[in-house]
Amino acid sequence: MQSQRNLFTAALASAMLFPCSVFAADDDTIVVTATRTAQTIDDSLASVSVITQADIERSQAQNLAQLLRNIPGINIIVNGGMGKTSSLQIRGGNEAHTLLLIDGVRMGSATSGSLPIADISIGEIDRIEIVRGPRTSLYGSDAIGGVVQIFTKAYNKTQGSEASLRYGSYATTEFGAGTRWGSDKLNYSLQASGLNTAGFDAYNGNNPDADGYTRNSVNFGLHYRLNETGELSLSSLQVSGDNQYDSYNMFRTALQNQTDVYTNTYSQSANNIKLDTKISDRWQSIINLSNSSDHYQDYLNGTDNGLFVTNRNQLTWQNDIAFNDNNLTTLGVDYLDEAVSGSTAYTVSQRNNSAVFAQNQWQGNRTDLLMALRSDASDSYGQNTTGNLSFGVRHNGLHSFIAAGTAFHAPSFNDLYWPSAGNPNLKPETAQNLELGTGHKGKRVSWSLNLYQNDVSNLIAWAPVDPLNPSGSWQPSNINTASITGLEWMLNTRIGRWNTGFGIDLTDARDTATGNLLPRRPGQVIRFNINGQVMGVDLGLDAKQVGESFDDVYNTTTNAAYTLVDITMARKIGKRWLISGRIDNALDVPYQTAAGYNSPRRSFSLGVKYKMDH
Amino acid sequence: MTGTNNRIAAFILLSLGLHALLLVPGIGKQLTASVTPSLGTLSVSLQSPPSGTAHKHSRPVLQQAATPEHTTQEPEQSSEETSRHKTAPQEQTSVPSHAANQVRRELQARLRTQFEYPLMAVRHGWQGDVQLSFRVLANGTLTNIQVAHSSGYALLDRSAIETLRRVHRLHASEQWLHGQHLDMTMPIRYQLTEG
Repeated sequence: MQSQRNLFTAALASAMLFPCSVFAADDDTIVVTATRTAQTIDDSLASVSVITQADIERSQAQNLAQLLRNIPGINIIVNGGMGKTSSLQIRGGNEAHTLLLIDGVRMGSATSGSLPIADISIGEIDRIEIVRGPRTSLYGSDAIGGVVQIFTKAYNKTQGSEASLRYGSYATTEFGAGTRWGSDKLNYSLQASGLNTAGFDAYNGNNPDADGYTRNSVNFGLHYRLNETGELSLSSLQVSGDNQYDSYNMFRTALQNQTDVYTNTYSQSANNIKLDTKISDRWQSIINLSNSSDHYQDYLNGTDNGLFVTNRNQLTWQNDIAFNDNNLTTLGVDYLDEAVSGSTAYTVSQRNNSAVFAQNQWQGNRTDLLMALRSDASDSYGQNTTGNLSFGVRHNGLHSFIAAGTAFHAPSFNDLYWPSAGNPNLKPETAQNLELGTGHKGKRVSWSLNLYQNDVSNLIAWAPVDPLNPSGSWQPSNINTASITGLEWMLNTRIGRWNTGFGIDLTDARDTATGNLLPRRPGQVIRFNINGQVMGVDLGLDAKQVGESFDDVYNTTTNAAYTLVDITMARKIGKRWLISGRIDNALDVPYQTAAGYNSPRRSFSLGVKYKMDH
Repeated sequence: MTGTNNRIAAFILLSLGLHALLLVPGIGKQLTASVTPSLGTLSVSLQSPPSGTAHKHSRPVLQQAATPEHTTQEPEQSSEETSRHKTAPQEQTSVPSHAANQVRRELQARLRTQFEYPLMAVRHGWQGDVQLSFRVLANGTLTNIQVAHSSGYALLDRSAIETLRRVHRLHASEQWLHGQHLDMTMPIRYQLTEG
């Protein structure tokens, strides 16, 4: 018995050093354990955060902004409350420098390049993986700052049903229901949720009314085991709703106190058919056929003010081949078709991109190596080759890595083909990234420190067609360059039933030509969170201190520093009921992430959930 | 000259045929058993009442076993063996349980540094229980490694087999086996933990 205990503790110690640990259990079973890695990329050679279902439940978040704003490296900008234009920046990159995937399906508007951060509902999400750093060499365009990959409950094969109701400040009501059922051969899941909020005045001064929002969403998943070697999966997410927002009409004489009513309807969909086949015990083939759409209809004072539709079809064939236990080679081809339609007559309304990619990962006892290369050929903006090279070492309980990568972001249809204003000769924005990371994962204490330098060139901005004649016509041009240097420090502890997290993000994102700081990039963010249990009540606190940032490229308008504290409480009643409460902005701090746009003050919400295992 | 070549060819063919015969399962087993004095089969003849096939093998084995220390130890071993069978059926041999445990300990110690969690299985989230069966020969060599129960993932099964093959021989176990073989099964659990 004593010797087994020694074996066990020895195994635990070695778990911090080696990629896998081996120990003998009491019944003489040899137990080989390894840490589950993120699906998006192996986290041993990249900076990755994973938000699990438990994290999501604990947060009681009602939108993606609330959930993601506490993640290292992420900055979220919201233009005035739930459902309003929201953008996400990873490591000081532009919004369009993030690749957003839902169940592997590429999301976002191809016309504006924006992502549906505001409209993704939380009830359908099973887990989220956030990769900081460039990943174009695996996923293609846009992954300059990083990747946010959302997995919906369509891929959760645990059985059960649940229903929930929530009510809170700003007359916000939310419901959700879901069920998952299955056998060895067939699994299905169905989720639905709805949210309605009266909101608050989005923009100071213009049309001083509350700006409401609704969102309805449905998520469906089906998995069918064809035989011992193959599985067919279907997943689908549909989100739709309407939104009131505040804006201003530049062509009116008075920019303030306008009373125009701006509204829009929207819908998002992500659909995927996936065929997993074990060609041999060391060769896994994955074929993904996916479709996504982004539909945005704008109204001004109730009349049609523009329609923008993006439709994407993508076919990917990825092969994972293990030449030995320490190796994983990925080879694939990818075809993407993007079509835009609506009220704007783009000079070109369809484009496609073909790509081949290869990645090789090697894992030794003390070293890791990852090499990736991808070549993209677009009929719209030409050929782009990107790569990643990472090398990691485990030594004295520390795990360190060095990573270099290149990435690109495709120009949007607006920039390329807007009638009589687009520039069809635009090239993609490109980036070169270097990263150093080191960390330690212990039983009670884990920490990590990452340093990165990202040089982005060919950034698209408006410039005169003839540089010598600034009073002539202007068009989008590849003229800007940026340099982003940053640091992320994270420290997590687990003491008894209490978990704490402490983190610092330092970002210096500059336009290299002017030396000005890029807009809306706070230079410093400090995070603290703690959660645990007191007398059967789960308590959580998330605090964040966000430094000052400039709102414009000229660095004249500032967004003041602010401190945000969110508190959550939850208690189980019996086996199946859960009541929960959240206080958002508990210190009631007025703050802005975009100048002039309001953010929620101290607000409350109360929820009840019924859960059932089948 | 062609005649000699033909004769050589015929000889080679015959030789190949005979070798092939040795390799064919079943026939090969019987032949090797009677040719080489397999110490391992000693236990069979002493443990179970001689059945048809075991009886055929027993003759050369008994000759081998006729050393003084072996004969004195045998009755004690067999009584222990029968009681052991009720609690742990995975080892079919007359090797005493404490000795079998020593062999298992050595194997576990060796395996601790040998096992790998295949990278592909980690990335795809594959986990499961494999049960391997194998024979430890009297000199500690592992042979006849087979999957008794699959994990459901051929990659994990194969990796487990290869890991055991890498161990090849348990040198310290020779002293515990006392010239006998040991049939064992070993459960292996591949398990992924959350970061």
